[in-house]
Amino acid sequence: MTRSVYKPPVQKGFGQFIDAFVVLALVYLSLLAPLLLGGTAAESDAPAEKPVASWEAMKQNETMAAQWQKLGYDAEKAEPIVSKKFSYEIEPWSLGITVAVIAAYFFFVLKVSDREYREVINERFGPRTGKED
Amino acid sequence: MDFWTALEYAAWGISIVLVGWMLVDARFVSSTYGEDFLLSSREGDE
Amino acid sequence: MGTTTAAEGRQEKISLLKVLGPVHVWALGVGIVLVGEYMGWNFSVAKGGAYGALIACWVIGLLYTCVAMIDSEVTSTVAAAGGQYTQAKHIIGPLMAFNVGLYLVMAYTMLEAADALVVGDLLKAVAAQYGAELDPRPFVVLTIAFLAWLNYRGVFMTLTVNFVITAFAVLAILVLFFSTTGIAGGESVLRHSELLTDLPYGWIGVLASLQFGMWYYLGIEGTCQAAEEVRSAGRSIPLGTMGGMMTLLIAASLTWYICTGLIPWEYLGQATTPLYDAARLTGSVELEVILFIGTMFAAIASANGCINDSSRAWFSMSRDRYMPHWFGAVHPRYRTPYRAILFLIPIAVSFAFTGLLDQVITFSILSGLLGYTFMSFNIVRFRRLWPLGSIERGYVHPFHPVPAIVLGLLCGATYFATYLGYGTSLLSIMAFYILVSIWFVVRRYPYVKRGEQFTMPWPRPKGY
Repeated sequence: MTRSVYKPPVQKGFGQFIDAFVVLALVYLSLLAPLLLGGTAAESDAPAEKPVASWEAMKQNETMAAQWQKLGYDAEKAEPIVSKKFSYEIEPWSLGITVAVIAAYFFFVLKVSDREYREVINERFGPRTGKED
Repeated sequence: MDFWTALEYAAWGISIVLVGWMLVDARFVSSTYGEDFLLSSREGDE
Repeated sequence: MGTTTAAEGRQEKISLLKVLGPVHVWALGVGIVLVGEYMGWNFSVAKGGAYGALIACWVIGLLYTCVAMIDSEVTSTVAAAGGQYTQAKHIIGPLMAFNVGLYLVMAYTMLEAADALVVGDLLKAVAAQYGAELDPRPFVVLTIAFLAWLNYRGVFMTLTVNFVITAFAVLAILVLFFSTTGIAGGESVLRHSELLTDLPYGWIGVLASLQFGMWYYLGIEGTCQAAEEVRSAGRSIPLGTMGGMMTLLIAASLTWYICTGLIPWEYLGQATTPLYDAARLTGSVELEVILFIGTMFAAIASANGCINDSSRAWFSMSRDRYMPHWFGAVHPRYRTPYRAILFLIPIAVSFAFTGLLDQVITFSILSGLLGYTFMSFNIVRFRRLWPLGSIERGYVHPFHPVPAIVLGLLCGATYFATYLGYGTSLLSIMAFYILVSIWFVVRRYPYVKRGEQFTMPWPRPKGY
C-alpha cells in the first residue's frame, strides 16, 4: 500500500471520559432549554366563562355520560377534561424559522458528510483514476 | 414496616446487587483479558 | 470478509454471537413498539378526535411500511450491529452517520426511560388500590437494572424473554377484541355509533395528530440492530421486520376500534392506559387482569428492546471511534457490548428522573423522525451509487422510488405536526443536533480511521 493513510492520534482515557460527558451535557441542556425559554405544549387558555357542568352542556350524550360514570367521573370532574382544547395557531415567523433550521441542518450535515465520504472512499479504494464509472 | 415499604427496599436492594454484579464482572473481565482482545471486534467480520 | 485476521497476524478476535432467528427479530421490533398501543397513541385522539386518530394510524402506518421496506433492503445488504448508523456511514458519509447513531441512542434510551416510568406508575396504581402509597422510583431503577443485566448476560435469552412477553401482550389485545365485539360469544359492548363524533378541530387537527400517531409503530426499524447477531441476516431481518409491521398494523387498528367503541374521545385523549381502561369498562375482572399484565409486559418488552438497540448503536459508534473507543468492547464470555450496556444504565435512569417526561418523549419521537428523513434520501443514494446487480442484495423492495418519496413527504407532514404541538422543543432539539454535529467535526472526527470504517465488501461507489 503506497497511498497515504490517515493515522488518527490515540486518545487517552481522560479525554474519552470528557467526550462522553460533553454529549450528555448537551442532551440535558436541550431537554431543559424549552423550560427555560418557557412554554411547550400548545394549549389555549381556559375559556373565561365556565359552562355549567352538566352532561348536556358538555355535549355528552347518554352513552358517553354512562361511560364517564363507569370510569369514575361525574360531570363536575369531567368538565376540565372535556373543556380543554388545543389551539393550532400557525405563526408564519416561527414556522419559517423552524423550516429553515431543519433544512439548514440537513444541508450542513450532507455537505460535510460528502466531503468526508470522498476522503474515506479515496483511502479505501485508492485515488480516482477517472475510469471508475 | 408494612409490605409495600418492604417491597420498595427489596427493589432498591436487588437493583444495587444487579448493577454491582455487572460492575464487578466488568472489572474482572478488564483485569483478565487484554484491552486489545476486548476491542478486537470488527464490523463486517464473519 | 474475515480477511483482516491474516493481515494482522495470529491475533485472536472476538465478535458478537450469531444466535438469533426471525422470531427474535420480530420480538425485538414488535416488543419495542407495542407499548405504544397500550398507551401514548391515544394522545392523537386529543389532538384530532377519534377519526383523526384513525387517519393518523393509517397514514403513519404507510410511513412505516415505507420505512420497513427501505430498511429491509439496505439492512439485508449492510448487516451490522450499527443498523442505520452503519448504512449512513457507507452510503452518505461520516457526519450523517454520527447523527444517525445519536438518533438511535437518544430515541431508544429516552423511550426506555419512559417505559420504566410506566412500570413504576402501574405498580403505584396497584398499591393505591390497596390503600397504600408506593414510591415508584425503586421500581423504575429495578426495571432498568434488571433488563440491563439480562442484556449483559446474552442476547439469546434477552430476546427469547422478549418474545414470550410480547406475544402475551399481542394476544391480550386480541382477547379484548374478541370479547368486546361479541365474536367470542355474548353481545357486543362497543358503542361506536353513539361515541364517535365529527372531527373536533377539522383537518388541521388530523395533521396535528400525526405526531402521536407515530406511537403505534415507533421503533419497528430497530430490528436491524440485530443484524450482526442473527444467523442469516439476509433472510431473517426482512422476514422479522415485515412480519412485525403486519402485526402492528393489525394491533393498531384493533386497539383504535376497541377503545373508541368504549371510551368518550375526550377521556381517551388524556388517558394514561387506554386499553386497560377499555378492559375496566367491560366490567370483566378477567379482562382487567389480562390487560393489566399486557400493559406491564408491553412496557417491559419495550424497555428491554430499547436497551438492546441503544447499546448496539453506541457500541458500533465507539468501535469506529466516533465515540470513545473504550465502549467498543465485547464481553469475552457473553459476547455482548457490555460496556455500552453498563454506561447507558445511569443515563436512562437520569432521563426517567428528570421529571421532564413530555420533553424526553418529544426528543425520542423527533430523533426517530430525523432518522426516517435520513432513510428517504439514503435509499435513493444507495440505488444510485450501487445500482441493482452491482452488489448482492438479500431483498429488493418494489416500486422504487415511490416509497422514498412518500416517506419524505410524510416526514415533512409530521415535522409540521410536531411544530404545532411542541414548537419550542423542536427547535431546541434541532439546536442539540446542530451543536453536536459541529463538535463532532471539530473534536471527534480526528480520532476516526478513514478508509477502515468502510467495511462492506462492495466495489467503489459509482461517481466517487
